[in-house]
Amino acid sequence: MSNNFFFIGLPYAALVIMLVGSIFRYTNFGYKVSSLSSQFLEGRELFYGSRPFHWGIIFLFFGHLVAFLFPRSVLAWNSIPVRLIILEVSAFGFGLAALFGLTMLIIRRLKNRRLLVVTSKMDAFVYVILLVQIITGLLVAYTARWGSAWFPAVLTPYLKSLFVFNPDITAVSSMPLLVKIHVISAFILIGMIPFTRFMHFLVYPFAYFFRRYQYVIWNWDRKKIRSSRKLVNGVRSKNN
Amino acid sequence: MRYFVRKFTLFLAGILVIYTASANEGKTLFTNYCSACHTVGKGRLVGPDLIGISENRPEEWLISFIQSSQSIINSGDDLAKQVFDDYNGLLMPDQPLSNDQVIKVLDFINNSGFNVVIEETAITDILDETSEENISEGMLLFSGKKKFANGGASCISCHNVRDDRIFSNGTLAKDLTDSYKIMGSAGLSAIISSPPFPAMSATYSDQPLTDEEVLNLTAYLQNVNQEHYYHYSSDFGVPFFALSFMLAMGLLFTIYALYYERKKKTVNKEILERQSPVLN
Repeated sequence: MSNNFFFIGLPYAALVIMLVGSIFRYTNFGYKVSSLSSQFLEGRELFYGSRPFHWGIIFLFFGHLVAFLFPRSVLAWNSIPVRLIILEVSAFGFGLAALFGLTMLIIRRLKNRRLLVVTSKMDAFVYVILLVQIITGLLVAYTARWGSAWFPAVLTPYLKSLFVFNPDITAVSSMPLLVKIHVISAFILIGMIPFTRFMHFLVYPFAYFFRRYQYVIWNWDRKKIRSSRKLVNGVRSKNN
Repeated sequence: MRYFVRKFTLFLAGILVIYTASANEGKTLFTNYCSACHTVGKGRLVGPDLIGISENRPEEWLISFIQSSQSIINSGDDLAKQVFDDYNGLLMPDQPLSNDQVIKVLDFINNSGFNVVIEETAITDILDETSEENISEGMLLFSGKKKFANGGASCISCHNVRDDRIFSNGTLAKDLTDSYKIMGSAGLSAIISSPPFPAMSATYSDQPLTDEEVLNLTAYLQNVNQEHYYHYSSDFGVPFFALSFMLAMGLLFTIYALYYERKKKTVNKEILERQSPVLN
């Protein structure tokens, strides 16, 4: 019963909410479709956390996507043990990098009071769900080896069955608890996209690649600003 | 009167034909689906001797157990759990039989004691005629070096065996080193060809293994069971974690080295340096 809820009801609910919600937010609050930057408030720790986190999570996202879209190729790749190890070690390594980055980001958020001011409840949710997702993912990769070998054979058919509207949950319901938590929290994450800063990965600014350079002209005397306290000259920011 | 007798004889003949046909079907089904692991009155094989099974268990229960033993065990049925425990936690594969077909098999089993004669076939081990070739073929299939004909995932994706000849470290599913000792060739080949475990059956339902592959894998697992004393048990978990950790460290170093310069300087440093002194 709970399996039906978590592996049939939840995925469909999550997908519908994600699609409808994202379109609604994009059309009605287009300028809010982003991840609220806090770089002006704190830049140094952000750099140490954000970089490894994003490298890790992007690699893992595409890894999961490839195993879902091309299961046979992944199985063929894994047929030679060395290749299997290369794949698993890289995935786990990127996972560790993502976990390190996320931990840095969470510490940074909690440590800096000025950041807490701009932190919403949904940001807290984002940290929790990502932490659950990355930790369970790493535990699954370590305890239920080799994930890259069984995912295409066991979970890809399940995901495919969802997309062809003929869900078959026998395989996924017999998976270890960690795998189930990982799958369930992934669906929750997808469903929460429209309500959180996750929205930013739907609107990657590809147009920037093709637009013309922008001239940035400082129309003030930088030497004056350095020691000035008058707003007429401009005041140099002190925190970055 | 003669007309009536003729009708009646025909009627009796009809019943007899239907009855025999159904008994025959039961017998065929029994031979195809059950005889690998069960006997009727010849003692325990992989599973229990089925003589008098209908007297000991209710028919409804038998039907659901035969169709999917795992679901009835998971539903918390005490009787099913007891059977499961009695047989060392060895699951009976799900049988693709309809209710009618199960009833026919049960009829065959019930009647085999008196009016249906079972052919006296000696119980043979399927591995009697296998050779070294089957074992090495099975090893290639198990380790994924050779693909299955229908393209299913190789065994090492999830399983582990104690065998230095191959790299096997799957920890999702059971260690198969002792599988032959627990199940014997008949049980093993029955489970490989129609797995009772949902994850395994999902993997191979669309890509079933051929009979020859099942035989080769069974032969290989028998060999593993006999030879495992001479092999080390290997656990790749720690090296796996260590390698990944090193990679993660390298990754962090690369990321920071690549981007650190950008972080140190202000965005407009380059532009400022480019400016001619005249402008400022």
